[in-house]
Amino acid sequence: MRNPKPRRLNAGTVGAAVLGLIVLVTLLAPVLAPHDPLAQDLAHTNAAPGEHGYLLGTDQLGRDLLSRLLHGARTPLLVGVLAVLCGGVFGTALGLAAGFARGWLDQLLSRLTDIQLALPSILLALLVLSFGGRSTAVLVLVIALTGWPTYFRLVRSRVLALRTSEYVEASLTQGVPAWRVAVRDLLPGVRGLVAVTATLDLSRAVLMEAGLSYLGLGAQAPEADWGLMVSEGQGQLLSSWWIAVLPGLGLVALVISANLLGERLASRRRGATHLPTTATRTV
Amino acid sequence: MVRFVLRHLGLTLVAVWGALSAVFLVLHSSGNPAVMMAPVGADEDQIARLSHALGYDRPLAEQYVSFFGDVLRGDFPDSLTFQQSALHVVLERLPATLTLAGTALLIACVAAAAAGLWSGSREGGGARREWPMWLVFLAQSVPGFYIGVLLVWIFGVQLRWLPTSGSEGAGALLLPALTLACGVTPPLARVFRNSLRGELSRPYTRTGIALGMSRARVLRHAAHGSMLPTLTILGLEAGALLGGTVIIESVFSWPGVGQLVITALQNEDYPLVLADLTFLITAFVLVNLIVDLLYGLLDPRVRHASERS
Amino acid sequence: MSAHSRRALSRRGFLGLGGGALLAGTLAGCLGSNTSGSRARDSRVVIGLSAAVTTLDPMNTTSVGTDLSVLSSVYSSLVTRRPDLSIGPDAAASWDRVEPTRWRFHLDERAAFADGTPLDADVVLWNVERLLDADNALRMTSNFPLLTGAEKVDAGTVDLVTSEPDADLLGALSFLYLLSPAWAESHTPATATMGSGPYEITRYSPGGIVELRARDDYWGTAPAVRHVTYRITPSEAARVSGLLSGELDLVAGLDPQDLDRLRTDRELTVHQLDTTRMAFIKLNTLTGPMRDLRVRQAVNHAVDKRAITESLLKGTVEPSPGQLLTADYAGYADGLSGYPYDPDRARELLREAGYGDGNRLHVELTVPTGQYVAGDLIVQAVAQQLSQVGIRADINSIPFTVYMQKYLVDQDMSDMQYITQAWPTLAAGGLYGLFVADSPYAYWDDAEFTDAVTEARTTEDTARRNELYATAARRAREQAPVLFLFPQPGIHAAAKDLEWRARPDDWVRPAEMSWKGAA
Repeated sequence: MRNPKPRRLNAGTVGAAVLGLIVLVTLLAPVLAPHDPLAQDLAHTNAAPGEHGYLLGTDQLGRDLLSRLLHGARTPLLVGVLAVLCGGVFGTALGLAAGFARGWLDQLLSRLTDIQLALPSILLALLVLSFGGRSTAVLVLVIALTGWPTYFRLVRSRVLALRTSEYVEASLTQGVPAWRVAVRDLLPGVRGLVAVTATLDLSRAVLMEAGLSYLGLGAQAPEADWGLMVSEGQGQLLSSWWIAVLPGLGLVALVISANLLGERLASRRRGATHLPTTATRTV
Repeated sequence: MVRFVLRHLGLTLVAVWGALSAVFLVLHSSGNPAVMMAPVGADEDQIARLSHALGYDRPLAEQYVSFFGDVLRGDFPDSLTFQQSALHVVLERLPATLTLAGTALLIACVAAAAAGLWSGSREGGGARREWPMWLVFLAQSVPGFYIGVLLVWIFGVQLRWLPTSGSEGAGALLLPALTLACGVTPPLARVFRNSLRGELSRPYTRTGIALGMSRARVLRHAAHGSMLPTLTILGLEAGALLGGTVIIESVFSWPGVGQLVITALQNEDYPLVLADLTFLITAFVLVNLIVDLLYGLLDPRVRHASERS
Repeated sequence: MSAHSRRALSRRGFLGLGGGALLAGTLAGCLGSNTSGSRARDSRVVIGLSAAVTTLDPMNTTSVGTDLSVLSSVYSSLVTRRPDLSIGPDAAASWDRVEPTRWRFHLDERAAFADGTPLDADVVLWNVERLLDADNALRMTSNFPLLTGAEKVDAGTVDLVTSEPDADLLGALSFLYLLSPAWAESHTPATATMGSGPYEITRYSPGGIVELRARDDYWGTAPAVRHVTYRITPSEAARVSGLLSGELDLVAGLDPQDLDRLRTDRELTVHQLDTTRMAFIKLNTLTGPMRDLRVRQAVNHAVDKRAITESLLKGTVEPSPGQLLTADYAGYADGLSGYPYDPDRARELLREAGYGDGNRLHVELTVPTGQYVAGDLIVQAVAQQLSQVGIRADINSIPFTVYMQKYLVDQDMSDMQYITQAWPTLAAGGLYGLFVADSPYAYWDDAEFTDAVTEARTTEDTARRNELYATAARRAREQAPVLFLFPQPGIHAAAKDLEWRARPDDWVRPAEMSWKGAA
């Protein structure tokens, strides 16, 4: 499959730049934000952009929307990156093991991914978060849990191919321990693949965090979080559209940049292995 | 062929069994459902009695077995909030979800076909060829709930063209179906476009063109050849569609099974969650099974590969 | 017994989640072909409900805003509560108290079910039995803690017997709807109806639209509105835009945030009143930092109630004068005043209690998600103001069922929780009953308050009883088992031509409505 993106503009660079900018702004938010994102001004609730000195207006509690927007990427980024790390490490390790060992272990793990893929990931997340309590840790784990099968499948099939190489066979016959062969010879072979998958998985993880926060199962009030802010503001669309509409733009920018970067990386590496074109949107 | 079907059927059953076991375990780890089912203010005695009557005081393994018995018979306990058969409540919501998902799928297919044909059949490159793909890329990068909020804001609030919730009439269907379609179109459009380009660059098409076949005819052949990969994605997406309804139905207050599962979770309506999830999972798996089988029927290579492995 | 008061609180949807949607209805409605004007001619009313009707069994629900309001049109009760909150006749034409623990009801001879069966003493007997049978586990039962049974005097007369004198009985009977025993044998009351009320249900699906039609053969006064449609519009924005576009004729329980918008619309009338439901933040005085009276008083001083009512509630209600009751309750005592907003005093009290810079007070503040009007915003405002005096309040927003489980069943309430409480009989003794020491709702063990209320409940002399309730009110003000806030505002909007009087007790009855100028 070829990359359908426009060629002339280097979209990957733009994606990386925007992503970097978002990360930078998030890190510098305490310095950049004109107000405390949690500070309320009950005298000036629902101020329109520009009113009372609030550049992007205020929400129902009179909190400065600009400051909340600047802080609002923190949770999506943090949860997204951690979830990708967990899911990536877990999926890669199991994929390596399954592809290398084959036999019953491979069968077991492959069936496990089948089972998990039989459960729409959003339902799995809802179920766990509703009954397993809500905390950032659970959120990260749930998103990682719904992400690992992708890594597993890609790594496994790549390892299956690599394993038959003479080089690996030779190492094994020479009595090198299996785990060392796996780590020394096979892991480097899947590193690039995992990196690309992880970039695309980041946008999936961010989308999922936003969706769950929107449903009230992710970030909790009064925290500034883009997904949560959209849901807090949508009841006010009639009178104060900015409360819901502006935070969503932040989300869109974040996901687009991650997708652009991921696609760019993927298109560079395409050929040897089948790669996903873009993260599938589950929410 | 029989082996192929049996193998897929077996895998599907294993998947359903595993998924339902996961649901069972998660639900039961949350405590005794009788506590939630008892009327407010019930004392320990009442809860114990109810717990016993419903069988929640039996060993977990025994409950697990009878749980599957119930599921097989379609015999679910009554919903706590609706005080009637949970399965009945789910089935009553089903037409709304099917209408929504079906319409969304239709919109997605038309949009994907249009975008794929436009970008896939044009020579050269650049914006003129690729703009539908940019749109597709955008649709893929915007969270579904945000698309919903934006559509509601623009068409429901600003322009007041369309109603934005409820399930009455074609107008009410349009916005949620569009929102849902936004999530499904991108993979379809991409795969269709890519395979179309692939087909068009094949020797047989070149020969056709050289022999003076009309452009429309060439395209028709190429499009036919692109159906198979697109169909696979369609199957995968039909499943993803069910997941999508969960959030989109909530955004638009669409009274379907997706919204139902969320409200049931919020109300801790244990039997209803169970019935709804069982239903969704089974539907999801069945759709995938059908697509797999169709795929096998259409393309013998897949069938043989699968039988060999 | 208090089950009702808390269940009935639920007038908004579940999570803030429903919040997404806007405006329900048909395309036709949008295009204006089905305006309130044409509905007036058909004598049809479309009502927006905030949550789905979940059951049709009137004894197995306590949600006034939805289930019971709808079912009150279909069934009759012995007595009814009129819009002015007084008790009037329904299936019982008259009644008297023959003994302190025995009430005698003389049934209306005309009263009959839709299938022609007369509503006689046997019907009442059967219904009381059904209510009191513990095996039925009916939600309504807890509203009748003292009722022991019914006795037939003759075909048209029945006695209800209580274990102690029960001043609340009539109030509770006003929402005990009577089923037909013969019909119930072959039908499921949860999914079907056959009543003796002014309307019959012509369409119902769980969680979906409900439609009513006025019965031509109704034995009582025929209602002016002949057709009623209930639409489920869980989101606030959907209700408001439905009103503005004319698709909905009436919505009860609106968010104050939309008040300005509604008031400027010339096709709508906004009804605004204090409900009988008091909002406060309950403090767990049994364990944790709130055991200390100084801390409880400090939080009362730390919160600027007026700033909240003016901003989040748009000035629709006044801060409570340090009371647990609203002025609608029998037994309400005048002359109290609320805790003034005084952050310095709050800090001083906290210092006295041993909290300060080195030892910051850290509490948990729980709120049921999307359950109460502006509840999620109010707790955020409160938490912010508490932080100004050095209290760190962590907000914990949980589903209502989980919240109630912790509060009542597990007896594991957090340090502070936002709640609104009402008592459907509008008796001070009822609502105060939620604060007496042995109530699972109380989390407050105060002998003086409990004694005053317990004595008042069995005191027949009104003056003496009110005196005792005044004592209880003063004690509650001083001991601050709650952070006093304000009554929950009742904001209702209806089409300009629809005659209807908004009720402080949440009931919305089509039989009380009529179109102006309609024949």
